[in-house]
Amino acid sequence: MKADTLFEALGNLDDDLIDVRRSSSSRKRSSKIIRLRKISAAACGLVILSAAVLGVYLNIQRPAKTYNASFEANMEMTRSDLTYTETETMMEGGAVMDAEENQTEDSFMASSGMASTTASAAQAPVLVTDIAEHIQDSPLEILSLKEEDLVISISGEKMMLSETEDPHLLRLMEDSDFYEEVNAASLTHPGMYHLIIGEIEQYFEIR
Amino acid sequence: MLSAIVYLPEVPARKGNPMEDAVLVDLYFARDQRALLETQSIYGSYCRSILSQIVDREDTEECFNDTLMALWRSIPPNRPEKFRLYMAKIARNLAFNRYKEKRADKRGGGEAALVLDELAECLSDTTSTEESVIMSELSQSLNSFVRELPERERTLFVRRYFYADQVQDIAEDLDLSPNHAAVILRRVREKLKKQLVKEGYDV
Repeated sequence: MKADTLFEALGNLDDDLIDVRRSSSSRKRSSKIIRLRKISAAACGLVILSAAVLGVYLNIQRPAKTYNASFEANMEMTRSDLTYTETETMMEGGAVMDAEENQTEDSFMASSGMASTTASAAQAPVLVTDIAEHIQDSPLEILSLKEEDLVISISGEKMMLSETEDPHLLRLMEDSDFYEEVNAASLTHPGMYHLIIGEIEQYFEIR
Repeated sequence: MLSAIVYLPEVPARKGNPMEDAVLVDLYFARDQRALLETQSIYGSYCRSILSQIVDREDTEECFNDTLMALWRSIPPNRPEKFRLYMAKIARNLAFNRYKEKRADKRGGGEAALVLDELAECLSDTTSTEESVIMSELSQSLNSFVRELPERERTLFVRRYFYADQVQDIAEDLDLSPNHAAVILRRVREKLKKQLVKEGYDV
């Protein structure tokens, strides 16, 4: 008997005997491909997630570093050079800065490694003069910088700048979208927030 | 009709179920050509998966069309209870015939096959009858042999020697290593040989 005969005879097996579950090799291949695609998608997702986490981590770290490493040191240097006066600020109204102010600002930027962010950098004096305009008659005192807020004192009562109910400050924040501008500045350049707050603090210290 | 079978348009695949099978068979009985389109739609992939185990890609398509033609010719008078398995048997046998033709072509060219066909005309019908009786008896022996096999052995044997599936694929489906599956198959073959010898077959 030939194998052909046997194979042919097997073709006459009863229906119930040949009713077995089969998964074709092509289906297997496609399920393998699907599995591979899922794995690669998961890997991509993991990479993106890691990059996002790293980005957030660096974003958190960089302002602190800038503040701690450069800003503290530069503040000491700048305090002696800073030439803001209440009268000048009032006259200029936040629109004009003299060369000395520019120079001071530039030295701030350069020393903090932020020389390229001219748009954000130009924001700082405007904010400073805005505040000066609005709170000159306020018994406000800036005590310290805590996290991303200022500890202030109004008529001897301590509070965070974000919690203030001082009408001058509130109006300032409503008028100039103070926080949004500061936040935008801190987004365009990490560390800018601290730089601006520091400058405000410096200003009031001088005052 | 032939052209309608050969030039069937592409039909999106669907899964078959008993109700659809009954309707499908009714379409064949009504000599409605939609039966062929529906068959292609529901069982096209299944049928091709059987054919492609035995013949190459090009022949798979030809055999698939031949299968549709065979279904059209055999239903009626046949009314298969399980359309899928009925189709599987036809497809397998057609594919095997195609395989034998190809093999004959390779051995002696087309002429040898023609000579054998011409000589076959000289042989008496008795031989053919004898052969068919032997085939019928052998089929019965194989049926009883396969039926007595344990389920796992039976699945392995049927998938390998009826559907001509690859050992690796069967092993994967049964959670066996390919080597284990091959060992089981060898044991089943030995068992079959013993049974065929016992029944007087010349093996």
